[in-house]
Amino acid sequence: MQSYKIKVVFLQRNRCEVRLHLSNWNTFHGVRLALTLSPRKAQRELERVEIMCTCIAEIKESYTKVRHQTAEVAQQKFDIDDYLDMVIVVRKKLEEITVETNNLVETVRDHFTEFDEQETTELLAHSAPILILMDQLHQKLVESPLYPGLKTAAENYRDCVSDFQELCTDLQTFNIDVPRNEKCREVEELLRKLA
Amino acid sequence: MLFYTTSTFRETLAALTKKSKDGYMSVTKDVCKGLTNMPDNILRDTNDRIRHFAEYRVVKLRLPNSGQNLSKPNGFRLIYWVSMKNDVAVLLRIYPKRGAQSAVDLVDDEYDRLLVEMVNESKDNQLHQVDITNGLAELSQNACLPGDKRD
Repeated sequence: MQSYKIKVVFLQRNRCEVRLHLSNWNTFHGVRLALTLSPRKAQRELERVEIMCTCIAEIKESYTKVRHQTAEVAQQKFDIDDYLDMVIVVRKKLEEITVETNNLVETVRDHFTEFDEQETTELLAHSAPILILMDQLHQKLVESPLYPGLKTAAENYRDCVSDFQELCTDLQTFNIDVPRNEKCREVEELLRKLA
Repeated sequence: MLFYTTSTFRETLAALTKKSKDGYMSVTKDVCKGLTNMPDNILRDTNDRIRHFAEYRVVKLRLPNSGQNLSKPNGFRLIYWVSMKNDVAVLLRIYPKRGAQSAVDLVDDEYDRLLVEMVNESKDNQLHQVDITNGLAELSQNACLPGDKRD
């Protein structure tokens, strides 16, 4: 509640004035409420004004509170709209990335055996940072307040990142000759005989 | 084509079909369907190869999970070895890509381990011959690959 003080000021020629001081008692920054000739009338005026001022202060406080609440509700409404817009946009983009990544993975799988070792190495070198970024993006999405609105899209996205990762691992296993130890070479020899 | 299974394959298959709530009960049906639908030449030359040599191939076949309506990328991974000279294939391992028992993708060493196991089990006549047209029913429990057959 805003503080105020009411003061009766005796002026010259038996005149009194009832003043409402809004801030500083010593400095008059208030409102001159009434002017009367009699101190008794001034006293009555003072009581009346005090009640009135209390009511006004309460009304003013309630008004301020309502205004703040209205502003907060408006802000919340804006925030919710903003949130929903953001969820829709991010979800749509995630779905697009998922579809495009799945198409890429399937296309590479269709030509899986056509890549030579050098092409595979280059492909994997380019894929590694993309995979890291995709994984980081998923982590950020999980942590973000948007996640409840994008759970399914984010899970599909995570699956597509996992498929991409699997493709890279398979490509590496298939196309890149790793140095084989003696035991592995023995097994390969046995497998050839078994076949 | 004759199909054999290793102990790892049988164990992983049993683990998948142990709990119905995991949603892998269709695995046997999906494996059989996936293999019977593929002609022998495709079974050998599928793009899902992991290793290829003149004599044999190691294939990682992607299969759907019909029990959970999951597509090939989200279904099962069947690892098998197939001979290029004889009509013989050995099922080495199966694992689901999604769900409670989902496994991380196999790396080079694990393929080696599966192949070593297959070689040893063939040598010891411990491979099981199965019928893919009859829900992987066992035809023989003491089988070996043609290269290990002794007169």
